Amino acid sequence: MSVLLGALLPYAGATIAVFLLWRFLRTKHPYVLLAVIYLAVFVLWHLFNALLLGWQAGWPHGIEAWVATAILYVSGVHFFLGNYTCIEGETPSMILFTLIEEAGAEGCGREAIVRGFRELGHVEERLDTMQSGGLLRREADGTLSATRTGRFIRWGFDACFGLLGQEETTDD
Amino acid sequence: MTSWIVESRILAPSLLSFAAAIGLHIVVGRIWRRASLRSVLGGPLAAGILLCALWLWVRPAGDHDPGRIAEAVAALALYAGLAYTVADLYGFHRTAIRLRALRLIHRNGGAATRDELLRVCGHEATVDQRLAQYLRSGDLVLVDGRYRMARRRILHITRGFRIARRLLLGTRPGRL
Repeated sequence: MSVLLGALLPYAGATIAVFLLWRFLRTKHPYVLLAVIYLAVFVLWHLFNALLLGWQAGWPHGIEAWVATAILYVSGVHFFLGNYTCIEGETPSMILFTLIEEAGAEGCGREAIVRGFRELGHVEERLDTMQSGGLLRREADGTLSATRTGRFIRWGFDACFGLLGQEETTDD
Repeated sequence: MTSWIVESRILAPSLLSFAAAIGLHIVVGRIWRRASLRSVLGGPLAAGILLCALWLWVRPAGDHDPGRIAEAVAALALYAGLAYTVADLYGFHRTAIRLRALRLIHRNGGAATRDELLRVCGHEATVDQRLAQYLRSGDLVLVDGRYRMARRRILHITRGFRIARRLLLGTRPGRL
């Protein structure tokens, strides 16, 4: 029980804190801020738990319980961060489905979908975000090149795809 | 190591079932190269859940421990968390615009112009890729040149995220 409580209670607390904070503070793609909030709530929760309850209720006992708690919590945080772009409505799939849904029962043609994407400026914004986020940099000749972080991310993903035995361009 | 595997109540069942699922995924992926992502990833991960549940069921230690159910739930939750992480990183990011842009730059020898990136990763390419992907998976159908949702599941997911956006952000960004 201590593992479940040790992960789920601070997770619920951090999620509620995000919902409350977002009433006042709202930025686009706040992934680092979200990660900091979730980490801070986890640490504070267990610190207060230790100080106020004397390491009793909801406190993971032993290294194994702590590792399990941490993995469970990080998985939950990853779930929230991974779906935050969908909540913002800015993944290509969410834009596609929303455009089709808004078109109603008769459906939506390809040109209208492309026009919808173009109006949102989705792809240009992604490239800008990659530059501001340190994945791409503009060279003196105007071309874009990958930073060390960008190269590492591409290498990491492609290594995983290769290891798992599927082509990088295979679609589902 | 052996005693840890036998005595562990949460980590060993979830981690070893997860390792078995990834191993099964690699084998299936290499043998059946043209399989869909759902078959090649979903199948082994679902098999891992069964393996984890079976492990927890047959494990002799702690039969009368009142915390056993909570530990079993924790182990299954841990497995689900790990499985989701792999499914997300491997499945959902595979066609991501960021990754396609980084690959194009890599293939071009380290640099690409913005126009080249927009041509390969641009609106039309992104839309065509997603439409082909969801037609193949059966989530969309093409009727008289117009795309419609074929499954209510997708409609519910779209509406669920819209409700979450209203609750969290309180707005409808852009036209969405």
